[in-house]
Amino acid sequence: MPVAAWLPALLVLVIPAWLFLRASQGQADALGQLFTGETFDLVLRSLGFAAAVAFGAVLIAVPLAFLTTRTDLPGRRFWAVVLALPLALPSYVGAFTLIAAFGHGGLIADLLGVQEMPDFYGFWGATIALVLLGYPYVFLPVRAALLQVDPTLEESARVLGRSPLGAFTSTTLPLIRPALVAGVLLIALYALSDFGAVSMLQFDTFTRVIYTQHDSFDRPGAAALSLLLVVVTIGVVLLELWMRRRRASLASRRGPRPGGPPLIALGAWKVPALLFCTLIATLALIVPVGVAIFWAKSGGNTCEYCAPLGELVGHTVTIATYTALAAMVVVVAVARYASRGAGGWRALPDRILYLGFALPGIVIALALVFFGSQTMPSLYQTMPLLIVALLIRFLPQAADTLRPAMERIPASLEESARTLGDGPVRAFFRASAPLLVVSWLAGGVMVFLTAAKELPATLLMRPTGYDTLATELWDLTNEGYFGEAATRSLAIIAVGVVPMVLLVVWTERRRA
Amino acid sequence: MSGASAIQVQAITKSFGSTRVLGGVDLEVSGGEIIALLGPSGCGKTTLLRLLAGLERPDEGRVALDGAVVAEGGTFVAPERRGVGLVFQDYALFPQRTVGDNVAFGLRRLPKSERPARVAAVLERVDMTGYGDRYPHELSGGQQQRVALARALAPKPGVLLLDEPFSNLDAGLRRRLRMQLGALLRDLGITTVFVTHDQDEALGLADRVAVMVGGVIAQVGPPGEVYERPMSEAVARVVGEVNLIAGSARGGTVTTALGTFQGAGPEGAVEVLFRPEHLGVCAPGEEGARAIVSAREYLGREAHLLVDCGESRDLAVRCEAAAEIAAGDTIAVCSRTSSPLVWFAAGRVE
Repeated sequence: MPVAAWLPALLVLVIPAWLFLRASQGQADALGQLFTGETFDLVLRSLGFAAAVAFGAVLIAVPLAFLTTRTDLPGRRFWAVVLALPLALPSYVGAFTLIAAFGHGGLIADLLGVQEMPDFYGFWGATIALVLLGYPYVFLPVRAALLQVDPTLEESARVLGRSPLGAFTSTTLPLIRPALVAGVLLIALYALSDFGAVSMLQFDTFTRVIYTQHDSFDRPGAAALSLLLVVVTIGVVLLELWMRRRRASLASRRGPRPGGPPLIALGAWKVPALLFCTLIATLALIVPVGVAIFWAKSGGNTCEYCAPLGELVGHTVTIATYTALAAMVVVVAVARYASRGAGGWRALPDRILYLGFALPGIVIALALVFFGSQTMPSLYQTMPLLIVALLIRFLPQAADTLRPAMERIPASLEESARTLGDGPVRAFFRASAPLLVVSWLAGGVMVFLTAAKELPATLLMRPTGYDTLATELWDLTNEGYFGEAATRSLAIIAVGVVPMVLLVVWTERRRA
Repeated sequence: MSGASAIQVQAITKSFGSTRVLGGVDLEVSGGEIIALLGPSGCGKTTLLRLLAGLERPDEGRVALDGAVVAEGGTFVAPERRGVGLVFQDYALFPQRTVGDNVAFGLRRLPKSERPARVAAVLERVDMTGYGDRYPHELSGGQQQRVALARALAPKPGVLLLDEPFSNLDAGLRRRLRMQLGALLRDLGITTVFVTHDQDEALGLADRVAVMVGGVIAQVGPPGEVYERPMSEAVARVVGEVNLIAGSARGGTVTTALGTFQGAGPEGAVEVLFRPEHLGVCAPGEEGARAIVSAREYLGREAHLLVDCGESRDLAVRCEAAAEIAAGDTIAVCSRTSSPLVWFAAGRVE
């Protein structure tokens, strides 16, 4: 148990160390060369991009969260599910859609019969793509917070003379802040760590520059920039912690009221509200899928050397399955280990692993590539090392589903089992585990789905020739094989998005 | 078994971090006895119960069950090997198992063929026959408690431990369930330790009450003894409502504004303990102490008064419900007890 808990945590800690070592190697002083105006521009550009994406997402997500929880919007539950779905679409599929629709030789140019299209590469294209696909990072926590708020607070405000809307803005809205801040952190990290969309849309944020340097064999330079990206990321996380240092507890003692909080009548606003929901769902879901279907049907250039679709699906599913299984083992070990000691250092692996979520995939991949190529060449570009990278990146997702479920189980259950004759392990499996299975499996499925779509780590670390749907889609889009790329997109949607839909629908139903 | 107590606790200490929860606890329980651990929250009573169950390890001291040491120094017997039944405050029924499966949970060592009969017998014992296929959430609080009891009793433990057994039940139900539980436990003859902060529960159900204050057992004795003859003011307050009236003691006699009484306590300036039922409103012609009524509460059978009597403020006094006394009235307070009283040295800061 301790080994399974500490090993992944130590790996997370070792990553910056490896980057530092690698950056200090070589003739040129890669770390020293960081202090240039160019680097400064890069930092500003990346942070500005993250801020723009977060801002756009908040503008979309907060109204949607409000509409789907606290108003009499027709079909609230339907919209809640549909509007969460874009999260399942990988950013590079969004980028591919933009390119295939608006790009040179793309769908729109074709339909209009024009050659010149407005330039959407760079900042605007990348921002639009990430806002439309990433806003659920804000939508989901804010929605959950709105559902959890103690309804008696608003009722007190009503009794004290506020209107329904006034009661909402004066009591509930301030309590939503921690969830909003958490959502903003998630989407800012999403934007900072995104590789697929920014590289396809040719916007030079950290990840793209790091990849370019790595690709042009400036390994110390790539390591130095990766290290800087880690620092910037940690800065963003610290900012978030600081912003919610005085976190108000919004959970009701009684728990959410069955049937949910009181609803506000939309009246004449019903139509614009529905149009807004429809617009977002169209842009973020229907357009990407529609464009992909169009290109898959119309064909475009065929690719001679491409791997057959079945093989790509097989590779993708294999990697995702291994990652999910490993995550399910480690997450139980870490959680159990942490729960045995009240606070203190036993909770440390759990905390450290959360840092993994803040580490961009390309940074984890680069660090492990250095580690593999220099100290353990036998592991370099092998499946185990790739799984480790994906594990570090996605473990928090499994933990996030399991932890609340574990916290809900009173200690007295296992203790009862102990006094009834079970040893500690048996008591866990007989008393607690049956109550955890669902969350545990859900966590595993989440890891599977995200690992299946992962791009940068897989791109850098996959065994030679072991192409996945994501890596192939990336290659094909960059080379303009829109038709072939479209079938890969649809396959990714089938493997990663459809199960996600089922999972979301199912958990929504269980919550109800 | 002769000579060995069912439970023997010696010089137990326990700290959590820098907080000392138990500071040297001694307790001996004979077979078949029902003991209440009574004390305010934070006094360490639940920790002591968990130490008996083996869910906590003592820092120092010794715990023996039926003469066998289960915790002392390096020796520690895990809870699953202690043969102790524990009913949690929240009952801790396994929500995914039926009542029958809950009760059968601890019967792994019993041959499979014998389990159904044992489950049925125990459920009958707690008057829950026919509920075996229900799930815990389908039961009322009182029924859940009985299932938890059945589950703890099913493996035939040597000792039964109950943590705040009635705190999750409606006030109206408590007394009846308490009396039923007392009858059942005495019928089974099982050694029982239960934790409570409710004096009625402790006095009503236990053979002996161990009063815990600040991590130690301040006094152990039969209910009547700890109620009538508490060894300190702190114990007196834990066990019941307290009125202290100034007096002057010499030998076995104390003189107060209410008269002169026999009893026990230190010499000199003292404070005499009167339970509310020890005080009453004087009958016409009776001589008592003048007091001003500050509040009156009508309770149907009787009324409770708060009165200020000279230096003694907020004394609790019982009177007949029909008595026409209102806040602000001046009355005369008389003693209503003929049994010996206890008193404590006056002026102690506590």
